[in-house]
Amino acid sequence: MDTYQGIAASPGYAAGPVHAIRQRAIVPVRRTVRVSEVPDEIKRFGKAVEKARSGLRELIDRLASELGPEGSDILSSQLMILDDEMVWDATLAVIRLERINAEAAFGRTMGELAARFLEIEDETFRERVNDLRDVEQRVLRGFEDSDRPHLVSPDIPSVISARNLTPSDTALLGRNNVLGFVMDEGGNTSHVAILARSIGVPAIVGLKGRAVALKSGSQVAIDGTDGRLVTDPDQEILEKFILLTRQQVVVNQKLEHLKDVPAVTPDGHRVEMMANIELPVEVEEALARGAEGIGLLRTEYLFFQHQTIPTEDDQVRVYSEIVRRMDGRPVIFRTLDVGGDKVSDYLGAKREYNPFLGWRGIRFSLANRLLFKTQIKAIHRAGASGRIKLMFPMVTGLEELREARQVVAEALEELAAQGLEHDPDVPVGIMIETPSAVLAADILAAECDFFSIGTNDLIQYTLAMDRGNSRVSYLYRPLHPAILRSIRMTVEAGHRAGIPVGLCGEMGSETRLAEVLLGLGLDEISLHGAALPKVKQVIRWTDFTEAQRLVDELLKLGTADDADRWLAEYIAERKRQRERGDHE
Amino acid sequence: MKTVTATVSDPVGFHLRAAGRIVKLTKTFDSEVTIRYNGRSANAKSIMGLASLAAEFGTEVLIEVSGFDEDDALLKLVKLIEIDLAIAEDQQ
Repeated sequence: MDTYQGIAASPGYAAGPVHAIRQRAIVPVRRTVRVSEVPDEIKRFGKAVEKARSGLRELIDRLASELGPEGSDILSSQLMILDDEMVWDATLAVIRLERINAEAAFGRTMGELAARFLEIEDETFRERVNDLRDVEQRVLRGFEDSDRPHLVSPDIPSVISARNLTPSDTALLGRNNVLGFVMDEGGNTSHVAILARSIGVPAIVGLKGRAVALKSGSQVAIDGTDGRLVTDPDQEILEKFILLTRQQVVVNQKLEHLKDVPAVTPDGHRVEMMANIELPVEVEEALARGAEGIGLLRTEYLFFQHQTIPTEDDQVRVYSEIVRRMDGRPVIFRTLDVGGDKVSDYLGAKREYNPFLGWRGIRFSLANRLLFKTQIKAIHRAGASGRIKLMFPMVTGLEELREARQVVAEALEELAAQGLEHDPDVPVGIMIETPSAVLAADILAAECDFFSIGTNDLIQYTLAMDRGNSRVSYLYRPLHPAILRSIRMTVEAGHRAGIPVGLCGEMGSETRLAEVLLGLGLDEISLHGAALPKVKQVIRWTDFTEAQRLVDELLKLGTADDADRWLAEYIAERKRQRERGDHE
Repeated sequence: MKTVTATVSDPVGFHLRAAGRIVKLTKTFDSEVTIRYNGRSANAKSIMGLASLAAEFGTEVLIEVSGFDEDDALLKLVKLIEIDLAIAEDQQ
């Protein structure tokens, strides 16, 4: 029995046998053909391409229904490769001139093209090589007579293990008998992670070789909440995980009835519960958990998945889909937040020495006005399908807010001139995630319609610690007095100006902090859908005045350790009270 | 055969989308079109070929055209690469 740590990508527990997916690569065997056979080889090539093309089309349809149009776009570029003139010309030339079989000729063409892409000093192109290899394998499979699928779905409930799964792999795999996923590569926003969250099974990614080392049929227990993989678990661990899985179901059933009730405290204080999402497919889960709106719609996915800048119409399609599915509930769009940990070379945001203090968030957008305006126009156009709000990331002062609002004004003028349907009156807010925005919150509040506190970055910038650096990650303390004061200051500044203040960020998803956030006076909490019912439950059984008293106490404490201890004791005491209450 | 240089106006250079637009235009001509950049050359009717040039924003590429409609092709290609690529396709 061994335990390995990966990245927690989808919460929950599972235990069962491994279903290992080995991506078998076909290596074409070269053989010489006679001149008279050349036309046949060319015909064989055409047939293999045709087979690959129809397979791709089928996958695109399936993915489009699962992920929306943006999910299938990745594969559309593969269709382009299949029909590319250079790929055809080069392959046919090799068959004719060297008189070798079609699969070897095609393999060589693709190999040369890949080598050319690898030479380019640009991450995007190197990533394109994966597409090339995927296409190559598709066509090479097309040469084989059997229609044997290269990927087999599990027959019994299993944990899927692989190096990484592409969107087409997961579409082929289906959802039956999938207990969870363990992957060697990928992060929180990888396709597998998103899929796992949307179907509600646990997933661990970034296991760096541990996942492919697993043999089919061997037993594992996975904890997607903390990102732990246990191989060959003993009976005790196995039973514990089976129990956790069951508890999870029971807790979810218990919380089910909360879906349609508001988050109101016994003394009548109302908090709006919103969800953080990135993809149209996540809307369903958010609604199922009772989200009253989308408090943070991250828009980066669209830009990263394509690896090209999506056009205005592309963006309108995807945004409208989300707005429409939310059916009149508010959707807060955060404009592109690249840079920092989300560097994308193709957007021209090169790796920087100190990325978190560099060209990111609103700074990047203001420097790329055309890109920024296009996105703002697309968001306003999506507003025609429901209710939306616009939010800018990483604002540090009034200059940025004013300049961004100027771009909004220009965008609105253009939309009106073009006669395109849009919402002309969208509330504009900002993320409060830098210490300067906290200190200048009163100034900023005068010129925007709402605040949303982004706690991940706020904690990182306020405490001057990089969460990704394991030597200092211990400094990540939500209950540090500086953080509690920052949130309180922001809420007070917002309320004095008469604007609502929300919070999005991981702090919102921590059940133990629910009373603290309530007591800090936040009007809205936006969090991951899975955590929503639990936080709502806490709010529904805590008096607002009592939560305020708790925060007053916490603010008197000098260290995060003291605050953590105080809170833990408070929660334990409350639990005892509730249990006594239950027995009476 | 005629040649001319053009400055890339697409803010992200010759990526797939830009390459796709060039191919779409080039395929409307009978002429053979080759684009050269940084010691490489590519058939302008191939998206993969063009994309692999990785020509960046603001750099010059050499366009070579030969065929009976070469004058027309040259003119339209220069306009596309120097001006139209700066603007998203759906906004034109």
